[in-house]
Amino acid sequence: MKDKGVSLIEVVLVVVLIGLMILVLTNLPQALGLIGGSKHEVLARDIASKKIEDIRSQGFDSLGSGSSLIIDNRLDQLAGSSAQSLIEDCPVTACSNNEQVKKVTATVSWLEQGKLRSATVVTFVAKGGLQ
Amino acid sequence: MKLPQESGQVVIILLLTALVALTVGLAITQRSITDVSISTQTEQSSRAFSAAEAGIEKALQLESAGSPIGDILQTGDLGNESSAQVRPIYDLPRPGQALEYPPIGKETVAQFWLTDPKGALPPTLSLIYQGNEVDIYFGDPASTGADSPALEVNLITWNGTSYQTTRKYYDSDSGRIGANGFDSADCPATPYLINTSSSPSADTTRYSDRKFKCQITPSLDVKPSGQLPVMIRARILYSDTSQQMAVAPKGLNCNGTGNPCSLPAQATIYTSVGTAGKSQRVVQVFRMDNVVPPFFDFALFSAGEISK
Repeated sequence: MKDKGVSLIEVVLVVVLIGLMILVLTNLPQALGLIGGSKHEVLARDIASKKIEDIRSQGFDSLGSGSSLIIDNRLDQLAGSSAQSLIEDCPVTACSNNEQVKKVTATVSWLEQGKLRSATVVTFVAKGGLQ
Repeated sequence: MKLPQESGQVVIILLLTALVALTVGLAITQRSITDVSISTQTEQSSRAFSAAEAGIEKALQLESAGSPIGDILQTGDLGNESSAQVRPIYDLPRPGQALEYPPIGKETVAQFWLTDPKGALPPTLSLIYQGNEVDIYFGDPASTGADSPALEVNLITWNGTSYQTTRKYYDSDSGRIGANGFDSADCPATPYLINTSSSPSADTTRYSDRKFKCQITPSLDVKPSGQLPVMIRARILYSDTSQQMAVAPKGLNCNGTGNPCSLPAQATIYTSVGTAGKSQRVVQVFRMDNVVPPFFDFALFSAGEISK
């Protein structure tokens, strides 16, 4: 008489398969969120970089210290977004010879799945520099 | 006794469906990993580029303020885990070397000093280029048809009492010469390969062998009788694409000195390497002192008022 039943290897394979499925399906929302998050990260950094180049094109003599809001239509694509640029004198740690250099920081913040994220670009603009 | 035979496909169908769902899920997960990796690299690259620009800005400012940066300048951490290192190459071109200008577009003027730009003007015999000729190389070897460049060369000299200009025109496209009356430039099928002051890599000890489409033939006589050369100003015509250009000294035994002729030192290249995480970006700036504004070539000078 032939025994009927399920072999051990079949049981193991099915358990592994179901386990993988559970693993993948539970991480699926997070993976989709990461895809969207990385796009927003690239966009935010691009907005900040553009602001940096706009500031650089003004020339050193036109720069005043302080912070100001960044206005960019693309900020609408980032939920709960805010962006600002900060111009300050070059810190002594970087400019020890009283160089006429301003430190420019552009920061874009937004909400990603309820969490606050930000992208920051930092550079120098100097008198007699690139512009 | 024959046992009843069971049959059915539900389990197989369920297994196949599960496999498909698993495949889709794995693909999405793999895509998210790739996207995160790319965005991380982009973020580091952006920080590195900004750091490289910051290094250039600081180097230029120090140089303008009369504080040369020497062999190397380190910016230190900019505050976002990025930093830059700037290396200058002063006094280009090296003795006997061709000076290459960064690629220029149509109607843009490239200036090459034939006297020491740091010396007083009008020029004196001891400070001028000692050779009698220079070779001018120009053009992107890939330029063809309507993008084939022509070159306007404006030689400025000093005759002892006033500045003189001599303009010559050369065309790489022989088909246009009949209409524009330009001289023909020497543009062989194999581009010219010469060593120039250009150093596009972060390794500032190497100079490049660069390819050029054409050479001016005959060579430009930079010392008309009784005149001292001051500068060459060259302008690209016709082509809508950027074209490279270089001026090379000519003569292995310059003025009987036994040394090759050399152009006066007149340019500096700053190479800034910005680093952030695993990314590095390089920004290079070509700087030449005392460059005359582009409208100089079109200005009209008069001892008195000009009435139209």
